[in-house]
Amino acid sequence: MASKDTISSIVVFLFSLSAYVLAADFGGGAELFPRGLAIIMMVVSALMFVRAVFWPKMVPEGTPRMEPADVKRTAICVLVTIVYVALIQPLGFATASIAFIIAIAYAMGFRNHPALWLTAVLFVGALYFLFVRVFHTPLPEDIIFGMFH
Amino acid sequence: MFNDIMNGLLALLDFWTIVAMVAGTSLGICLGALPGIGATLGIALAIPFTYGMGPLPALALLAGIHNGSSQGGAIPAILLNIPGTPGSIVTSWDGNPLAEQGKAGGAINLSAISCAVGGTLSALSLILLAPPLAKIALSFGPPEIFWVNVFGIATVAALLGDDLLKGLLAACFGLLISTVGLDNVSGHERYTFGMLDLVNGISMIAVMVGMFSFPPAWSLAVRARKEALQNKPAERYKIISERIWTLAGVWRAWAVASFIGIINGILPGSAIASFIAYNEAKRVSKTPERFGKGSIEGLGAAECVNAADNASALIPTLTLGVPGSNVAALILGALLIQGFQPGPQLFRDAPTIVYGYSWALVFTALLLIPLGGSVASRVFANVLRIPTLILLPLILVIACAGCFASQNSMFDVYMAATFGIVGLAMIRFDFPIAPVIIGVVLGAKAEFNLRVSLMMSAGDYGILYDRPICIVLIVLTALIIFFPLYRMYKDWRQRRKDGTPRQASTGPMH
Repeated sequence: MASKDTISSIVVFLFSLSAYVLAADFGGGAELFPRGLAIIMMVVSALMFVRAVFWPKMVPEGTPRMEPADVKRTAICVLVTIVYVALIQPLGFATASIAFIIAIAYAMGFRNHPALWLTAVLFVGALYFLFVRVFHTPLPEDIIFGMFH
Repeated sequence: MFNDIMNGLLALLDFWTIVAMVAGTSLGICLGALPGIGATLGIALAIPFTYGMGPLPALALLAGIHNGSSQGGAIPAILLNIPGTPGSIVTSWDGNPLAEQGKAGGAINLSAISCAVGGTLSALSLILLAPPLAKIALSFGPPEIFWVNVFGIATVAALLGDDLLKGLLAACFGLLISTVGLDNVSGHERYTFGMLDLVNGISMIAVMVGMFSFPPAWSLAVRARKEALQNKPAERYKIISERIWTLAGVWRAWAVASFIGIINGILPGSAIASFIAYNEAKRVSKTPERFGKGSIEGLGAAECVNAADNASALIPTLTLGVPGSNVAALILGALLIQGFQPGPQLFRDAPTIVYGYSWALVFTALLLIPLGGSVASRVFANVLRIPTLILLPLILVIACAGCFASQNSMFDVYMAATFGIVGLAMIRFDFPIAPVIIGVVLGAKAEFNLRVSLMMSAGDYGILYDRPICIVLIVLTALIIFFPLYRMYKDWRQRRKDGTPRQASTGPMH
């Protein structure tokens, strides 16, 4: 199986190559810096690839490995966060945030419902008040908190 | 200079600045006390909130969080034997045995005073050492500034992780991010893919908050789920605030730890200052046999060194614009957001702000004595009761609100989430995060000075290497990069001779 360094060096090389090619259209000297960086990245990632292939890492015995359950939990956290970020605009900041706090804590196994609901509502309410009333910074228009304007 | 220093001190005597210092220090202690959250995450979350604040209250708040979190890490280390921050690992060696002897309150008090001593001496070193360095740096032209930036980026890439190649790639990635948007010199759009939101570039706040807040929050939740049943309650020890130290007993440890911490701050890259300080304090101690069994000198040295590199790490940051740590990179970003260009001209153009900030570091360190002692052991230690699983969404909600509020843009929130995922992938593949941030922060400045240098010489690259200071900086940069490469080559030859494969690293410092 390809090592982490082998995979990452290939990904970085392709990324740098794309950056180099895209910079060709800039002109007016604007391409100089990004192209220079892309070349450095291609050289360094090639070195990393050579190192990973000809001089692979040895993971010492007893090094803790990420368990499949941890990978699953991380994936759940990331997915719920993506959904939350996507819903802030349509639902509004407060509604999406309360739903997010409850959903992710529940998904991670937290079962103290009164504490969870109370924390979610009070925390988001305080944050909303801080931004909108104290800092006078609008947050995305909300379907629940918007009624109190 | 004396007048500037005094004006900076007087500027702090503003109601909101004092409130910001007290609030920042309290918040910092709470954040530091929560294992997994430290100064970096705290400052990353706080920066968007400072957007609408005046420069001095904003910087005073960040100074408080910076110093407060250094001491906050001692609370779980002493009470639960769980270091709140990496620097608190050594604290637990003597702090927890003291708690087991029924001296938890006294140990927390000693940790607060030790942090105050280290933090104050460090901030005073910033006030005294930075101006002469800034004076020299003021004579630098664009080519020298370009090389100073390259040197800074190379230093962080090579020293803040344990793999030079990955550090360099991370730094170049950060620099590449800084090129997105309209080119300031030619007006050409770069990597915008026709998206209007990208024309002004990628928000520094989005990158900082995304990379420093999202991955730790996700990891925290996963770890908390795993360790949910292993948590010991914070009120395991009866906290009695008794005095357990005497000046005669700890001054040697404080002196050694402060010196090591200040030097470590100025010369970035060493993550083992607390271990060195602990060993040196043990060496000069009259009772070395007590170390590890509840020694007040051991605890004093560990906490003193933790705070002693806070302000001194800002000496290269404020004078040369070269951050030597994650927190310094974030402070640099905060200064840019406030409209200040970090570097020697900061001491000439905004002396009140820069000295005011330095004094804020002194006062927030001193605030640790009342806030970090009995108040911390009675009030702030209660944050340990917050279930970690609830902390994850709270951190992310603050991060998203802060990102949105900084420019009233949902695009910044999308960018923060994207960089959060990129950061998570980088951590999983053992890439350091700090060089990316430093690349983003210094990228525009480095490119601007390179382009101006070339315009000055009508395109002749000789201008970049025919000045004495440039040559010195090129040699230093080459040494920073080639020394680890040479070590890697030597290691490779040795291992090839022995027929042993390369040892995996223990992971980069994040």
